[in-house]
Amino acid sequence: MRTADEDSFRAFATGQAPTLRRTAFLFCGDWHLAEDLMQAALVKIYRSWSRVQKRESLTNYARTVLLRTWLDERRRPFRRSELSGAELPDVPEPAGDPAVRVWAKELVHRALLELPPGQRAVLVLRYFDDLSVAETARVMRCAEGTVKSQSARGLDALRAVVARLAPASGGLHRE
Amino acid sequence: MSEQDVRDGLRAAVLTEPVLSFDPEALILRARQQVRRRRALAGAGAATIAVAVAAVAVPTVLGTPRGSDGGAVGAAPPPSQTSPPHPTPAITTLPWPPAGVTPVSYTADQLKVRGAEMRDHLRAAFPAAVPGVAQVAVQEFGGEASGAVEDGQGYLNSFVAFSLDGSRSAVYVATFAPGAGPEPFSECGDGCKVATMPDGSHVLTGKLFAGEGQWLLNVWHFRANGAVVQATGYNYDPTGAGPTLPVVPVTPEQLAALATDPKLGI
Repeated sequence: MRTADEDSFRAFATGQAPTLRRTAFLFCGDWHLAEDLMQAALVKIYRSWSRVQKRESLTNYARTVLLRTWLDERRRPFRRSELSGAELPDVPEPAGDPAVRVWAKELVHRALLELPPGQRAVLVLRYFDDLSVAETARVMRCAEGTVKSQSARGLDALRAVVARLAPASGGLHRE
Repeated sequence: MSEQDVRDGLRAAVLTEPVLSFDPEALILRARQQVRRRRALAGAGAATIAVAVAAVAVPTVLGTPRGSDGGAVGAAPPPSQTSPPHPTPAITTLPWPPAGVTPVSYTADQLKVRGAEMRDHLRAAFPAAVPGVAQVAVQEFGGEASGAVEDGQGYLNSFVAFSLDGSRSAVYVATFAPGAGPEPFSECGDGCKVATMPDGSHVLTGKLFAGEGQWLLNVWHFRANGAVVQATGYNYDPTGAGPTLPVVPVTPEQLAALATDPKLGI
């Protein structure tokens, strides 16, 4: 790779690494695995940098590579376990305590990790990365209709899991 | 729970992230080493694997007469295999999916129909590709679990468990819809070899160390229409708890025969 290309890749990787690791963590629920996925995705991008660096949305391309890296990891028969060992406490702290809000928000991610990978990915891309339906479809390389249906199913499933994990929360209604 | 609750919940989940000690120089060094290794190995192995693939390639173009009821998954166009593939110069990158490929989305019902067709086909095709096998059991095609499919899922996979010379093992068969497959080279491992077929498709072969003396032998067929078929052999039984074997009991040629089988694919 030319020095100029390598410089541009270095800047891109340094800028994207934290974001990609966060997205990977939301996919897999484990910070160590998330870091490995982020690094593996960046190595793949390096290998095709001269071809892809002129893309209009390099960030979304990186998301595509990260998503595929995660899905590939999941398909390995000897894949590592994804769910983090961090369990929620059995009951939240008393109402009004700030800990209640922390507990409730941890609950969303805990519930997310129980969803199928497709629904999990679409919810992360839409509600964490704030991508539009069209952008999400391009990242996931699927039809926009699939994104819409997966989003709707994912939200329904998420609500159901939250209700199961925390029936007292009333489904985390907003105040 | 509103969509804003979901946004808040996801943002809150990463607030306690550990410190990131990202070293771009180390990453670039690692990437450079991979590129160099692939260039060296791909060049040395291309001709060998090309001959191997040609030796097992089906000599006629097989039709895939399915989906006549309109409900099954559309078959991938059969790859042309009527002449030996070309030994290629070293290929270290493969733009994927090919230009112009539109991702295909299937319903769960379509995937179930297609999975059942491929399962039936494998019951005869697997012993033909791997002579001498006994007690062949083809699992139901699925996704996250055997038989588990969902709308929009871009892949189907299964295991074929078998006995060979008294040892138990299995072959993993994964089929990916156009545009939904893995990145070429992403899991090829050390010694990755590439062969180009006459129709422009590519066969990648690589060995991957799984730890504790266990190995995977992978063959992928990256098809011209953007679909991918993977066949993986193991020196153990990934479907059971048998012992680790000295070698993977199936050969790259046998796996290539499965991966390039035009009757496998979605």
